[in-house]
Order: sequence, then C-alpha cells, then structure tokens
Amino acid sequence: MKRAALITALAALLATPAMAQRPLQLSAGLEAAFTRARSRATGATELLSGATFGGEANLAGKRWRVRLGYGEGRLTADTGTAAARSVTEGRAQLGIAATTWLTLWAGPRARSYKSSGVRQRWWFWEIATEARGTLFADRAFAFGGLAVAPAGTVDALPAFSREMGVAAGLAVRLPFDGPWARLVYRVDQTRLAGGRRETVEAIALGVTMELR
Amino acid sequence: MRRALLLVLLASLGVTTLAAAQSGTDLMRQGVRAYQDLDLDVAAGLIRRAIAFEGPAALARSERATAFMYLTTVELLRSRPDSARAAARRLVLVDPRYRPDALTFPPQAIALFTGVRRATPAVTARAPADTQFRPGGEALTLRLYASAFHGVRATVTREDGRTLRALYVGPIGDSLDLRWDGLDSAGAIVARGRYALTVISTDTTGHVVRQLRLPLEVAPVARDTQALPPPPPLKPERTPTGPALRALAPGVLAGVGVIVLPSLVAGGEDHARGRLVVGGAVTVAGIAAFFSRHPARAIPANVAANRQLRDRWTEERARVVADNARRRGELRLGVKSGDPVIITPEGP
Repeated sequence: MKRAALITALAALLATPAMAQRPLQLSAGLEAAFTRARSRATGATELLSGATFGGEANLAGKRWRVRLGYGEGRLTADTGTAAARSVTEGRAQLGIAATTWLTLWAGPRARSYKSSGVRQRWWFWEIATEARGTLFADRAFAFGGLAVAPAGTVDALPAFSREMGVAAGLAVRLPFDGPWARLVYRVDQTRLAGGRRETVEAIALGVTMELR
Repeated sequence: MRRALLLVLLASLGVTTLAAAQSGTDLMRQGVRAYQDLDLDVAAGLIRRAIAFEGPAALARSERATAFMYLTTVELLRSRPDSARAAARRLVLVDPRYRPDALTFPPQAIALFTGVRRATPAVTARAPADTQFRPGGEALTLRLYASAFHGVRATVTREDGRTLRALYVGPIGDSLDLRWDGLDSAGAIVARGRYALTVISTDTTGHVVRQLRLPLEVAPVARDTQALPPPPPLKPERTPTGPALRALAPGVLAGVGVIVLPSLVAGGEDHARGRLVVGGAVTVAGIAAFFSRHPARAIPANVAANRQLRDRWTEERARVVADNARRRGELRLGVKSGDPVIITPEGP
C-alpha cells in the first residue's frame, strides 16, 4: 500500500512536466511550528505540545501541481502523565488548478508518533481544496483550505472513521523580491470508532523560495 | 405539311412586321422617307397617321412638332396652302418656341411657318417638376414662352377655375418669368390642393384667343428635424470600489475562517489562542489592501473633463432643440407641376 502511494506520487511528479504547457515552477520552503496534539478517549484526555520543523516542495505546471511535505518534532505533555512523543509527518499530493485562485488536491498523508520505542502510524487518503486571494499584487496574498480524509488506517487503535482539517494564513513577500514568508494556522481532527478524537493544531511560520 | 408550316411562318413574320410598324415613330420615319422620295401624297397620309397616334405609341412632344413641320412642308409642296397654314398653326400651339431647321426644310415652308407663328399668339409654360419654397418669403418661378408678341393674363386658379391670385397682366415678347409666393390674393398661404397656372392669350383687340393651364399640386411640407445629440461618454469620476473589495474579501474571509472554522472542524476543543493572532493579521492585511486601492476616491482630472463634456453637450442640445423648434414653426410648400394643356378648341 505504501509502495503504491509512493509510486503514484513519483509518477505524478515525473508526468507533470510532459503535461505542462509552460516552464515548470519549482518552489521549496521551510517552516517552524508550535504544535499541539490532544487525544480524547472515553474518560481520558492527553494534551501535548512542542515545536516541529518541516519542509515542503512544490512543482507547478500550467494546471497541474505536485507537492511533497515533510516535518518532525517532539511533543511533551502539558497536562497529566502522558509520555513525550516524537511526531513525524509527510504528504505527497497531486493537484489541479480549477481556476487561478482555486486548486484541488488529492493524495496520501502520513503521521507517525514514536514513544518509548513504540511507533504508531496514521495513514490518510486525503482530498483538499485550497483558495488564495491577492491582497497586494506580487507582495501579499491570503489563503485558506479545507481537507477531508474519508479513508485511512491507524495502527493499534480503533478503526478509522474520518479526518477533517482546515488551514488559513497569510503570505508576504519579503523585501527586495526575497522569499515568501508564511504565517499559517492549521488544525485537523481524526475521529476513530468508539468516539476517540485526535486533534492536532499548529501555528507555523515559514519561508518559501521560488527556485525557477 | 412542310409547305403549310412555311406559310404559317411567313404569315406570322408578316404580322410581326406590320405590328412593329404600328407606332407613331415608325410611321413618321416612313412618312419622312416618302417625303424625301417626293411621294408627297403618301408622305402626307403617313405623317397624319403618325400625328394621330395616342397613348404609348404616340410621338414625343419634340417629334410631334417636327411632324407638323413636315406636314406643313408637304402640304405646301402639294399646293395646299390652307392645309399647310393649319398644320403650322397647330405646330405653334404644340410648341410656341419651335424654330424649323433651315437645312432640313425649304425656305418657303419656313417663311410660311414664321408668318403663321407671328399671327398665332400662343404661350407655353415651364415649372420645376418638384420643388419646395417658403411661402411669403421665397417664390415658385414659372417661365412663359410665347410664339409672338401679344398680351397675356396669368393667374393661379383653383381646380374649378376660380381665380386664386393674379400674377401678371400685360404683354409678352419671347419669354417671361412669373413668381408666385404661395399666397392667395388675400395674402394667406394656400391650402393643400390642386391648382393651376392659367395663362390667357389675347389678341390686339383684347379678345381671348387661347388659354393654357399648367397643373400645380400644392402640399405643405414639414421640414426634417435634427436628432438630439447623444450624451457624451463620461470618464469615471471616482476610483472603482471593485478592486478594493476584491482585495478585502480574501483577507477577511481567511481571517474569519481561522477564527471560526476550527470550531466546525474540531468542535468541543479548546483551540490555541494564537490562531487569533493569525486571523487578526490576515484581516488587517485585507483591510490595508482595501484602503491601498483608494476606493471611491474622486478623480479631479476626470471630473473637470466631464464637466467640459457636459457643458458642450448641453449647449449643443439646446442649439438643436431651438433649431428644431424653428424648423417645426417654418411652413414650406411643396409644388409638383404637370404638363401644360391648351384648352381652346384649336388646341392640338
């Protein structure tokens, strides 16, 4: 299953240049985020927080888009006696620009928690829509998105029910035609069978460079 | 069988030839040829038949005058001076201005015609076929041509013959211009209707010898008015608000989304207050973008330019309105004239 997803993402990445009608645009960015994770099960709540760091690469043709993202960090308990855990997250998504301001995305997203040598993997098949609107031409834009994962798997936990998330923020080009600085807030919640809810939210600050 | 067909073909050919000859012009041509061959009796018969034609096959006015002159000459050469004088008199009535060609007709025929012309007072009239004029100020010009010096009385009459306006009483030599201003004898503008220029020729004793009527159809004419000038294309006097709103909307939507949507996606959770900073930043950026577009700000250059355009348009419109009002108040008469008709027993 994982192999298939990886092959699909790579195939999309390689196929995109052939489909594009204009030179490809490549951008890459880094971000640092303050992340909070909350796990609610019947009668028990765990709240963890910490810093995470990640990167993302975007490849854009005339209408097709591909993005790959990766991040990791360590979360510690804010309340209770929950054990600290390291979190790793990645995604590979293929997008199509419906209009100049709206892009539709689809692809897998994975998240992994590791605590006391035990790794727990989350796997989502996600579809998302992302809109952006210009505030100042070539200087600043606002963006927002909504994502839904109707299918997924979770190791060693009750069966996956659904996942939904939103993200919105502001991107500003730094002076002298420098990189884009991004301030973004995102939150997603995964519901499992039996009423368990896993919520992860993050406030991130990052920069994105346009490479070509 | 073949013989019968040949006969039918020849017969039809003969009928066609005869039919083609049945026009005044053709008979006239044959008559002239007979005259040139000195076959005077035949020429006289053909020319009379040509003159007698009426309707579409009749001779034109100029052809008719020439035919009478040929007839005058033929009758003179046939030693019938009375018939020659009668033909010459009819020629004078047909065209008082006619002058025979000295290269075509013999001198004695020309002399006879000239004598008859001088003794036959007649007038013809010409008027524009279709014209317009302003009654009272402008006038319709009617030109009279006379065969010889004599006295005439020219009047504009109603259809029933009653006099509407006397135009001229006095002698006429070669020609005379009359002007009718469209008014009756009381100074009123004539109404729509059929009228006539009636010219009565008198002899030296004052007796009426001939009367000519030139039909005139009079109708008031409304002058065309000008279309009002369309309003000028104006430049926008204020900057548009659309771009500013389009810049404001994403910022406000994203800001509100950051604050509201987490409750919808992950309801019941205590969300990070830091999101308010993100939402506020995006909203403030949207508001700044809105005001950076200067929505609905006056554009002085366009305001001034539009004022000039409006002033010019208002002046032009007022001028057209006044001109149209003047045109509507200005009555014009349209006059169509017909062919002159001589209504004496001697008339052709």
